[in-house]
Amino acid sequence: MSDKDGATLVSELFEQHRLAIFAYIRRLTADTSLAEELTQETFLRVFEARERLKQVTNLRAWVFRVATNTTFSALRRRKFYAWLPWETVERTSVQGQDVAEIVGMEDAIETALANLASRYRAPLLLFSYYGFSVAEVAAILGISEGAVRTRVYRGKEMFQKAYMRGNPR
Amino acid sequence: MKRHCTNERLAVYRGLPPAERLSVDAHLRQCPACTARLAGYERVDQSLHALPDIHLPARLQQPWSRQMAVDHPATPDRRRRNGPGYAVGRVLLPASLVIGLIVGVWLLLASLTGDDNRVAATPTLTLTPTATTAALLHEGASAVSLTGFAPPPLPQAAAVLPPPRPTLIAVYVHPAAALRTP
Repeated sequence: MSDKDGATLVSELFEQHRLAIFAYIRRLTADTSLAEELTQETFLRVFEARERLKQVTNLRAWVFRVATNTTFSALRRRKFYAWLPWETVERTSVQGQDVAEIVGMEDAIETALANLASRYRAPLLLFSYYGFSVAEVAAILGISEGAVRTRVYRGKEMFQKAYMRGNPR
Repeated sequence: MKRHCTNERLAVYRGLPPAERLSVDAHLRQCPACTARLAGYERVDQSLHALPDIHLPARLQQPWSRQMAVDHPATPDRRRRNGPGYAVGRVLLPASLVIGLIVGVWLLLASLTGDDNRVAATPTLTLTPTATTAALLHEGASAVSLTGFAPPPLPQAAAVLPPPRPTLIAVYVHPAAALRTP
C-alpha cells in the first residue's frame, strides 16, 4: 500500500469512527478534554501504522483496540486512578430517591456506568453498546472469550446495582 | 438442558454461537427463573442504549488533513526522537554527567588531602644533561630513577614531582613468629 493510499484510508477511518471513538474514550475516562486528546492520539497511532492497515481484516475493531490501548496507557501514565470527576462522585455518594429526580434517568445511567471499574466498563460498553461480538471484544481487549463473558456478566450485575441505587423507581 | 443457564451465558446471550444459543433457548422455554435473569441483563443493554448522546468537540470536527496539519503536537516530538540529533543527545548527556561526576569526586578528594598537595607547593626540579642523582636528591627529590632515561639527553625539561608523602607501613607479626628464636 502506498503512503498516499494509507493516508487516504486513515482519513476515511477518521471520518467514519471519530465520533464513536471519542464517545467510547469519553465514557471510559469520564473526562471530555482528556477524551479529545486521546482521540487524536488514537488516530495518530493509526496513521503511524498506515502501512499495515491492508493486513487488518476488521478495521473498526482494530481502531477500537488502538483506542483502548491508548486510553489505558494514558491512564496508567497519569496515574489517573480516580476515574470519576468530583461532581460524579458527589452525585453517587448521595443515595436515595432524590438522585434520579435531580440528575434524571440519563445521568443515572451515566453515573452507574461511571461507577464500574474500567476492566468491566470497557467490555460492557464494547459488547452491549457498540455491538461487538464476544470474539471481537476479546481481540480488542487482548483477553480470552471466557474472560469477556465473565466481565460482561459482572459488569451487568454491578451496573444493575448502581443503577438501582441511583434510580430506584 | 435441565440445569440452569450460567450467568456468563445469559449475559452474552446475543453473542452466543448458534448451537449454544439453541440449547439455551430450549431451556428458557421451560425455566422462568433463567428467563427473568435474561430479561434483567437485556434491560442493562437497553439502559446503555439510552445513554445521552455525546457531541464531537469543535477541534475533532475538522477533517483529518487539518488535524495532521495543525493539531497534533505529538508528531514533531516523535520525529525529533528519531532524528540524529536525538541520538547524539542520548549519548552526550549521560557522558557529560559521568565526566562531571568524576571531576567532582576528584575535586572533592583534592580538597580533602590538604595544602601539601597543591601544585604551587610542588618543588620543581630542572633536569639537565649534567644533573646527577645526588644533586637531584639534594634539591628535594625523594628518589631518582634513570630507567628509560637514555641519551640523547633532554636539552631543557621541567618536571613537576609530587612532594614526599609520609607512608605508614603496618606490619603484622604473628605472636608465634615473634617468640621464635633465630
